[in-house]
Amino acid sequence: MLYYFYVREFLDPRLLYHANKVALPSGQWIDFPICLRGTAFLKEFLARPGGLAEYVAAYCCQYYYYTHLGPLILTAIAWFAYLLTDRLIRVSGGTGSRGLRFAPPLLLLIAYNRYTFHLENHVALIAALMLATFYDLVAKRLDKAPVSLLLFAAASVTLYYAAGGPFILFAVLCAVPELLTRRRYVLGGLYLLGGAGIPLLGKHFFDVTVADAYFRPSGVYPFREGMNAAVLSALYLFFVFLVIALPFRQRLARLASAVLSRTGKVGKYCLNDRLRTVYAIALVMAGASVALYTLDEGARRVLRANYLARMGMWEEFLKEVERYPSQEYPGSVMLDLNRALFETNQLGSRMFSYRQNPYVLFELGARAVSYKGGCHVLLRLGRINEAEHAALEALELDGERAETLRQLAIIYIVKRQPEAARVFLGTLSKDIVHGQWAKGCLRRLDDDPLLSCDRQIQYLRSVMPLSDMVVTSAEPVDASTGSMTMKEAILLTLLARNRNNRMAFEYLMAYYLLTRQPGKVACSIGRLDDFDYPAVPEHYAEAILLYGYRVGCQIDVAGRTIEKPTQKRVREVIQIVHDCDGDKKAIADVLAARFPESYCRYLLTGESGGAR
Amino acid sequence: MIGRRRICMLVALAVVLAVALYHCFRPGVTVPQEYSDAGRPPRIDPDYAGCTIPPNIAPLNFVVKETGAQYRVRVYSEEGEGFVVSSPAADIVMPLNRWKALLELNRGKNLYFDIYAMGERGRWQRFSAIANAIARENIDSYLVYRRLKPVHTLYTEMGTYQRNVSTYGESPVLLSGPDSRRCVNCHTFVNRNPDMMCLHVRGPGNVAMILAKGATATKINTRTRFNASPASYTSWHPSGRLAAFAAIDVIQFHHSVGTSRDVLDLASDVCLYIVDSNRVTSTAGISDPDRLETFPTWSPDGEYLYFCSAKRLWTEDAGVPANYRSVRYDLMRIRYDMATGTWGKPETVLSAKDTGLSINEPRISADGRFLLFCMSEYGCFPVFQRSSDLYMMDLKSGRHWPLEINSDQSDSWHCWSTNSRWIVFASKRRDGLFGRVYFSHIDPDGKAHKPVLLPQRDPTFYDSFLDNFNAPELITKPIRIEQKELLRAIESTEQQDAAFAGKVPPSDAASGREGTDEPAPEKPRKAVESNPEKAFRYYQLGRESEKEGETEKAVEYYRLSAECLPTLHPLNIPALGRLAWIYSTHPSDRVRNGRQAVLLATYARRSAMLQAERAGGERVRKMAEASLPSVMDTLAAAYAECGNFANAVSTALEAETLALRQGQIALAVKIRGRLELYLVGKPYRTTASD
Repeated sequence: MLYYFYVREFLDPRLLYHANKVALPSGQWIDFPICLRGTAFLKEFLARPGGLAEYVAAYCCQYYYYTHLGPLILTAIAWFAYLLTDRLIRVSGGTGSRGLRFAPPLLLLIAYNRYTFHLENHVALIAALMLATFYDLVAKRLDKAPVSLLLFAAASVTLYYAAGGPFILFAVLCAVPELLTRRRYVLGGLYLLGGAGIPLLGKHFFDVTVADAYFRPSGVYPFREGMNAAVLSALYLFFVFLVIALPFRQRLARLASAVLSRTGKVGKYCLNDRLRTVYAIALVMAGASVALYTLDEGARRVLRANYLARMGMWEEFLKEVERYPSQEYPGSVMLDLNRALFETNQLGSRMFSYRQNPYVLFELGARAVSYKGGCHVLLRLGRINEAEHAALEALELDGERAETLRQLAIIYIVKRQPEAARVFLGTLSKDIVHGQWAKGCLRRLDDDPLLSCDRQIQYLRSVMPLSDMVVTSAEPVDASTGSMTMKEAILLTLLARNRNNRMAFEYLMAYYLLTRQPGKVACSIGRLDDFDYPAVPEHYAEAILLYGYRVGCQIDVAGRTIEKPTQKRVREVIQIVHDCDGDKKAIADVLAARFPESYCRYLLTGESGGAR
Repeated sequence: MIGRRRICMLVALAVVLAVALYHCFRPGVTVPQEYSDAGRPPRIDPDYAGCTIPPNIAPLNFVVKETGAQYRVRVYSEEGEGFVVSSPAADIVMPLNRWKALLELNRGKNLYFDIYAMGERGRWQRFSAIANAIARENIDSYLVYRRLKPVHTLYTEMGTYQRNVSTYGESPVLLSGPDSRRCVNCHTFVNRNPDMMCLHVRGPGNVAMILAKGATATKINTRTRFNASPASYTSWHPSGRLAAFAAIDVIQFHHSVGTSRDVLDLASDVCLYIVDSNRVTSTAGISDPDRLETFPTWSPDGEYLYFCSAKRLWTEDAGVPANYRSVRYDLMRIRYDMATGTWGKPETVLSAKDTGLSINEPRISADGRFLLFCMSEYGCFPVFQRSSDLYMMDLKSGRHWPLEINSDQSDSWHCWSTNSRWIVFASKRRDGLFGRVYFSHIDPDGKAHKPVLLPQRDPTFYDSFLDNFNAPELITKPIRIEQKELLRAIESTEQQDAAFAGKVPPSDAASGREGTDEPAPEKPRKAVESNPEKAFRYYQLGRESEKEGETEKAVEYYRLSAECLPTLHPLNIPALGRLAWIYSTHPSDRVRNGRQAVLLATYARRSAMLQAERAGGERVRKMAEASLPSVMDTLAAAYAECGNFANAVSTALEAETLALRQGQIALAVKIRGRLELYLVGKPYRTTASD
């Protein structure tokens, strides 16, 4: 229960479901598997050794989407590891070392804590342990070398095909008891030979590389670095150590017991049983400490922010982002941050409270830091073709993921190409989580091929551009400001198409602010009349005042007044600039101290982000 | 214990035996005897009705798009018994061997599908029979195509595959995984025989042609001092000793409306690769720097090289040219004597001026009778053009016509079978996005019959398959070379560098070709002598006339003013600017002259920029600087008048930025207003209030 609670509350596997290709602060990426129903998808897995374990893992991973099922799966894996280890300890004669059964679940927890684990590694390991246990049960009962050999051969072929590389562990776990306990040296030797040779046959039969034949999907590749490989290596070595060391330990214990009985100190040995319990508890405590210590907080933050953004929980997203220093935001979070600020009506007044980068307001083409976030922003803006391009690139890079397929289906419905949308929905209908939604959508398309009553579709059609424009992401970007005529033209086209596209307006203003063009903010301020702004948003007001000061005239702010505190702040900033007499560092320091979240600071120094 | 185990084993064995016996001797499925008649043919997907099908094609499995709890389909023809397929679902999957036998027996006859669907109350309904014609002639037994995702700019997952058309067997020829980031393209064969073939790879640090002879592959660098671009769109000479290819400098971009993706060749030439000597050669007729030549294809006798050619409408290779939609390719041919290596003169076979469309991808039937090609609105990438249709040309009479089988989506990437009775092409007719392979029978008069979609074992295959089928090529037998060997050649550090043989052809060598020439805009008259006072006076008169609404008079005064000074004189900027403004924005069609406006505004801008950069006097420099935003604004209006809205938008944005930088906020606001018109494809027109 504790394990389950920890996984659900601290790790939260839901964070992984939406996180494929999300970059973590450690520089690693999340690689989340795809799984679709149907034989066509399964067939790809069946064509390689270990493919079945990979398929099972990919299938299970889809349930991470649900709050309770993801933790349940991870806990079940750990529980299996615990049970099988316990059984292995008992059959190896290590009844007195049962504290060790906690080691595999704890090692698994360390792997989970990094968020970059691959479930297929663990599924394949459990499969190897289960079959080794089964072999031990049957071999003990039948106790005939030919039957054992036959059983081993059948189990080896099955296990190698189903679980790949971890079969070698199975071979070792079968061979060692034969050699050390049952003293069937020929049989043991044959098992070891089988363990080394069957992958070679697999390589020949399945046409895979030698490394894949021996190690996939164990996760333990030679010379591979990283916590995952280290944890998995430790797990494999642990099991090998158990089956080798415990029989010796048993003999030693027997020897010690004999010596103690001869010297009459049996009572003392009994006392050691209690000590052993304390030792086991201490082991668990130490393990739990290690687990907590190894939780990758940085990765968790990024993944949680990504999750909240993908779920459209913008208020929660902002709260999450505010909890950690702005220097730690990766590009994808910055992209979602501006979207969150827009969705919560704060883009024009709070965007410089966070670290900003002019390149990631929204993006076009292969340079995008986040295809997913980028595609969502473009689609929400109404740039349907650019969203289509981003989503198709995501499809090519990330594969057939539910989120991408869903986006593409919407895009082609908006573009009045329901037949193309059907192909994406056809694939999505095989998805374990979103299949029902896709089937429902296909039924709706049967009734109304253009979904003309759907509000989201209607809105997107009302804002999508109607006149053509050549869009290329190859346009040079002004290195000093990050400005790019193409982006400006894209946003202006949206406003020309529909004056009431608020997102286009706010993103255009944000673009001008980020590329340090306050004059263009002033030039566009008349558009405030198209929306229901009660006052001039703070950053726009700062830009207008600064531009007015620069060109020496008063700018009309569409009949609105700029609030006095803003006017005062700008006056003070101008005074600071005068006082510092052009000393850029001094200006930056003073502004960072006094107006850290103001646009004035960004315009003059290029820096933003407050204490957060 | 042992006895019980034996019993269990015996029971299991008996069950297996019973299942096997049932499968071997189960009673044949028959069609229902009692049914009602639907009185109409059923809807099936793919639409295999009224088609002409190859007698050696795999079963045409389909889905019945009618509601039912159970389905039976009787497949029969005039000879033989036919067979019945029973299915609890709407997916109808036919047995391969019985299908093959039935088709073989009935060449040249009709094939029928009688479809029965069981209704809710267990009553059967029979639909009218679906008939397809079985052709007498086989299609070549293997098909080679590329499979790739709709966007293929990232090269993470694509591959060339071969498919046995008589079964469903598909195997990869060459795969490109996410790690290689390699584009695999343009697989071509000598006379449809895969024993000699080539394909091309492009990837980071790896651009080459892979030439495969038998079981060995060689990597060849086809880039020479003549052609900086590697080979693509290869066509083998029937002798197999040389291959024509296009060396193209390609740019990919996308549109904000409609079909997203587009491709343009900024420069292209046709060259020959001579296999024995590992040399590349060309001639002025197929590599004119002023023209774009591409899509070479040999006549079956090897005497003529057909290709497409268009006038190059731009001088710089940077970015997408504004006039890319004006590029239309002619169909040309040139004689080549392989024995002497001499070229004839290029001839126009079909001119884009006559068709109004751009001609691409010519392919000649093996018997030399017909030439099949694509025509689309513009450019050279028909697969991205919804307007692309297939056209047939009778090479005896020179007559050409569109195929009856064209769809409202892109039809392209076609090829002929060895017996010239079949064509294979890629079409996006199913959904407008994914290219799928279709076969069509061509009768001896060149008439195309309703095409058949490449059948798949799973009849719902195309409902969820997210790859494009691209560049299908028919071959007579399977490709034998192994993928390993192709990969070895690709990844090998050793490659044969082809050398260029001959001189770089002069640009004026190709003559007698028609293109899409546009007349150069008229240049303004040059001033004979510099007379600033007179110029100023005329300018003032022009302004007064304009205020009084006498536009024609104003135009004349401004012209006179401009003639009093050298074109780039600083005092000439206002007159040139006003003249360009009137030509761009006047409400009357009689007065407006977009091309002249662009020319005059360009002169005004150049003059203003020169003065702003180099003028000695501070006052003149400041005046020139101050005039730049409005001159740029005029130039943007001129571009918009010419329909060049891309340039109009970028120029207006530049003008707005300049105006704001100089504090001319009122002008900036006005420019913004005009800019919003250009963004929706409208030019600016002056009104009375202006």
